[in-house]
Amino acid sequence: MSSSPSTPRKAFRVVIDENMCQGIGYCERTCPSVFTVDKERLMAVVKIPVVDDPALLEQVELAEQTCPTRAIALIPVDES
Amino acid sequence: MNARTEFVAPPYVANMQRVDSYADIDEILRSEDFMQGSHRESGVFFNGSLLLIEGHEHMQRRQLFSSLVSRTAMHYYETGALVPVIDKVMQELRDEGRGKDGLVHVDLIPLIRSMLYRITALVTGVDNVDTPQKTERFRDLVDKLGVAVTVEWSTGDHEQVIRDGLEIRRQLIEEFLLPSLERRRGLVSQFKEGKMAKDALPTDLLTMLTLHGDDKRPGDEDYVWRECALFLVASTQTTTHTLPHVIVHLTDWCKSHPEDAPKRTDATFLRIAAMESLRLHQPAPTLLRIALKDVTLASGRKIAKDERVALFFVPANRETAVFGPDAAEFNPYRVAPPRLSPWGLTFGGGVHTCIGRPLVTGMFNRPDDKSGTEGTMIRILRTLYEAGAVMDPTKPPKRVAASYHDAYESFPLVLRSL
Repeated sequence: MSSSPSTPRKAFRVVIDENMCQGIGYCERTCPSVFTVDKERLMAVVKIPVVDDPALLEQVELAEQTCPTRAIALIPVDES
Repeated sequence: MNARTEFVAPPYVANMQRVDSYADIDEILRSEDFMQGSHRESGVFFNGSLLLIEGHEHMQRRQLFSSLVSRTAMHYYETGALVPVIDKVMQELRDEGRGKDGLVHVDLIPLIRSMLYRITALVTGVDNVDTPQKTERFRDLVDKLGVAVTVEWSTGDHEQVIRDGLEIRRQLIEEFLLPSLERRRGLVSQFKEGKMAKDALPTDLLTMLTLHGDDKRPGDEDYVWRECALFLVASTQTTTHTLPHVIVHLTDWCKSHPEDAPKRTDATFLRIAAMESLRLHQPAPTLLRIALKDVTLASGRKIAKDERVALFFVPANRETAVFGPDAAEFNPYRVAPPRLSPWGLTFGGGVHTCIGRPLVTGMFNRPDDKSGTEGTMIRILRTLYEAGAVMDPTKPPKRVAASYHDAYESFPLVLRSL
């Protein structure tokens, strides 16, 4: 398979699926400026709900793909 | 036919502390106080792979492999690799698979594998699976490797199973993996010399490992083959294992709920049926973990430092306190409690949650559902039911005899509408 372009560089809303998240924390370690983990609830928390900076978005995408439970969703702002 | 069978644990876990409470298992899987304890015998096939590494190394490897499980990749595996192969296989059955009664008769187990092989090749980065002979050869080798890497569950002579598996792996390397790796080494060299854009490189396991310099680890040159073994087997195992169970359950369910029979071609209904079947039948019904220190779980259960415990998913996923009084029964309309997956613990939990789960279940039921996928299991099920699939009334399915797994080795179907 050839590489496909990643998500277009525009604004995305970052959402945690609370039924899937286990608070593992790979998101926080991959992209600490956007994610943190609530240790009591064992749940990731989004610190920056909308991301439009391309460099930051790249980190958020990596966090989304690295999350073991795939609990992160990136929603184009114009679709949300 | 009753799909529910008693869980038979393999002998190798007999002397371990058995953990079968949902809450205890969930806590252990999420806890940093435990490490992987599975795959001692099969370590010869998996050591050093994503499955068995821990800590920062594990997270870095997940990041390295992230493009293999991106939404873009998942979409491509399904629409670019699975759907065309399904169409081709169904056309071949239509043309050549009819019995004397004029109906198409087929064994589901090899049929599923024949539908999934291209995904296996794509994810791993195996080239030249392009003629009927090479396709059959590749599928056969991967099937046999799958038997060897689950040696712990084998009812046969384990040493022989491992010896056979190593020989199968040697043949896979020689015929498929090494030529594919050599091509990727060439491509990566061109990229590093500035002669090729990164976007032009393939997105597959062998390319990722080559880019990272892991195609030839000093002192451990076989590492690359162990990572390949994991992806080759894991990319098909869950669907092959669980899909027959869905058909058994739906056959029974539709006898008592005939109003649901027409829904068997509806992706939404098939999805909830598949999730419920995954809850009841795990491809890996027991995982092992080792305590890194003395641990007392929230339930009060104590586990000593260095103790290896066996996590029994079958009773946990049928716990009435979690899934309701009919937890042992199949009910596609079951609603999972908040913060629980409909499949329970079937894909594991914590950092070692199955990396291929979205491939099987699809990316669904999320706020960004617009770019979702159906998943391999639902795609195949829908195709079969659209072709009028029913269990062959003259040939009952056969359970796997060479393993303690809750699986079928033969599952005859009749495709009445094909």
